[in-house]
Amino acid sequence: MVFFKRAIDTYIENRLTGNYSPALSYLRISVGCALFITLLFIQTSVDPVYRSFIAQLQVLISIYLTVSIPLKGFITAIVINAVEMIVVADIVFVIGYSEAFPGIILPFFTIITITVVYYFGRSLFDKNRILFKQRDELFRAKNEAETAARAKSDFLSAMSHEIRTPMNSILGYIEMMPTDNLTKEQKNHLSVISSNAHDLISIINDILDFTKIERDKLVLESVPFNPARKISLVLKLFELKAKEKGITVTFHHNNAPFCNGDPLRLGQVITNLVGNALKFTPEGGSIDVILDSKVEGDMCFFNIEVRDTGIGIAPEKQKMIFEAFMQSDPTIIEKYGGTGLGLTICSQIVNLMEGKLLVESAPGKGSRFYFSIKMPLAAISEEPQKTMDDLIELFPEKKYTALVAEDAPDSLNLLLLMLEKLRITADGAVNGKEAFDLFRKGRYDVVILDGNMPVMNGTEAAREIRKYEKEKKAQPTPIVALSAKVLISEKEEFLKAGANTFVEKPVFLKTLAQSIHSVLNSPAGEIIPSGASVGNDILSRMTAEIGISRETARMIISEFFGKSLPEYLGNIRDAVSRKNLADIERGAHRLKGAAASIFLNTLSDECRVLESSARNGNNSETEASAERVYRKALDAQAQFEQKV
Amino acid sequence: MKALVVDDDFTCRSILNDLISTLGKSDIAVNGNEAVDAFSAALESGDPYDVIFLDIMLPGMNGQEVLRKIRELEKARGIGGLDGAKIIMTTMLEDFDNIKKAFTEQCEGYLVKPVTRDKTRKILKDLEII
Repeated sequence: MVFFKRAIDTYIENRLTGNYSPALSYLRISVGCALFITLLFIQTSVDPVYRSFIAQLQVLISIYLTVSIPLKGFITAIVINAVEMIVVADIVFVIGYSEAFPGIILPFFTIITITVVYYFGRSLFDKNRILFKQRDELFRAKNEAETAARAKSDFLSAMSHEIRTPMNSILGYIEMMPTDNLTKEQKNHLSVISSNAHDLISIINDILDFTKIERDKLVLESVPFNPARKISLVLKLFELKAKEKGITVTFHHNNAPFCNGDPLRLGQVITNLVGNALKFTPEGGSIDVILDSKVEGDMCFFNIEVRDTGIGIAPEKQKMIFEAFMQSDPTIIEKYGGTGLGLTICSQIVNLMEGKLLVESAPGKGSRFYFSIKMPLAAISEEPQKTMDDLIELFPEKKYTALVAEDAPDSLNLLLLMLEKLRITADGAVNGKEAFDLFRKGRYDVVILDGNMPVMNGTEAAREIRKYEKEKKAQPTPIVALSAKVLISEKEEFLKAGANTFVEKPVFLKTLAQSIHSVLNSPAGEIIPSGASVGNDILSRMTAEIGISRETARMIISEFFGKSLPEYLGNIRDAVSRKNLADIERGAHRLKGAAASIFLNTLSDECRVLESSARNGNNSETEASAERVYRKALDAQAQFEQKV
Repeated sequence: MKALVVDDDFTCRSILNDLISTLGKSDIAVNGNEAVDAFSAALESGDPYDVIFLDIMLPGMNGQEVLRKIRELEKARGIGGLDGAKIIMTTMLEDFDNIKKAFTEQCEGYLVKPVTRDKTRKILKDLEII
């Protein structure tokens, strides 16, 4: 220690007296450089995270290069001195500096520097490793949390489905109940059952919607409708309740035009907002619903607002109300009921519509919920309306026969009852297998298949039926698919299996009648868009699902059919004739991507088969597959031309 | 945001281009060579691309090679790590091996066709570009 101290003293003395020899300066510079280079080397090799450090160093160097020469000298001096300090240059003096040995000292010194810097780097590296470990742990924790959240939403979704199925038959039977011979009291009881059942199913639907939104499964439809008419229909549902509470509900609007959008979801938002307003507005209050529309080009811009004179929301609670399962005050659930999901769902739906649900409120002064959205103008200006009697008239007495497959006995009976009301003779089956057996024996005008059935489900049954018809070279029988599941992908699977249209559960007589009528009166094999489905209209899907404008979609589609498709098919045909598998693979790959991009899924799937058989070098398979691709492409083109 | 969309298929690149047009400026390249040229020209001019959507199977120079070339060009200019262009591979789901390979070549993400607005926004948000 004493030795070390003496060495430092000597060093400081030398520094103070400016007693420098050229050899010492040379040494100091080499030490500095060695340190710098080693540091750089270690930093870059340790981890990419350090690249940002290097980048900073590079910035410093580039600044250094731009400064004037005297300043450069100054900076160099500072840096070298600093480096010298760090690298315990004193060690030179510990071993005793001698002008006679610079040649020996230099490598020795460099080794020491490198060792020091190496350990310095190692400690950084270790620290880094700890950080990495922590990061991994955080990731794991995040994944676990996400899995748990997903499990929760899966559970909710499954539960809701379980509850929805029996609820559907309750609702259906209430609808079917003959009310003519009931006493007034009985009628009253029935209406209580009915309204409670509707309340219950709306809560279940809320939970289902919420889980769907959580899993990014909620997709907006795009069908023509009149927003003003939709909102006034929604408000009609509240008329009675408002009257009971002595609240006036007023709807102000400036005759909005027909637009393409999602009437169901818009209605849901309004229902929720008005429902809340009613809930939280005391007797004698008022609710104003405002729909302000403005047309610009082929778009219509809406400002929508629901205002009440209710209890209001404190400013600090206003953010919270849009979060799931939150009400501004937990006691509210006890006092007013509800799942606490309504506003979350509203806000998410408005987000999907590219708007933002906002609130302005003060306690005791009422609340104002408002949002702005836009929708493209629709081509039509009137929607056809049919009454129930008109619909029944569509089905002449005992002219049509139907086959119905549904596993839940209550639901099956209900469907049979409905068909009876429509004067259609029907046979029932409890699963897809039984339905298929009946189908082979009998002759039916229409087949109605539930999606979820034991033994053989609806999709499989549809596939079997189509296969059987093909073998027998028979005309395809229209198939109406039913399902409580409302995911678009499942609808698609059903349609792909051969169903012609899709009816969502709970099945209402009117919807069922309309669907059966439209499949019976369309050319065989044609797919009918269900009442509120995105359907098979490519343009609508491109605007709704991809999110591009209708004009761009139109341009892309016409370009695809007019140019890309013929070109790619030409390339494939050409490559097939040259038996060039690599070119076939490439052509199939391109068409696969393009077709998938505009939802021509069957064509895309066929291209995938072609691509893989070309890759696997299977010549005969490739040729057969190419043929199928041509056919599918022509089908798609023909379908497209028919539509436009 | 300045973006470059590289795809040899008109349909795919038009959809992406339209989706990006509301978020910023976007250029188009129809093959690998064009992509590298566009990238180095932008780099030269001092206004490089923030994000590049790169199809994997391209005629001539394929997506993987383009990715490597771009990283080389950046390296030569001393751009590395977090400062480089964000590269998003566009692909079909079953090309997963290709995506893995692209990640080792330092792409930042991937986008599975069919490309939609939501997917595009999500990845751009994840990469903190928008």
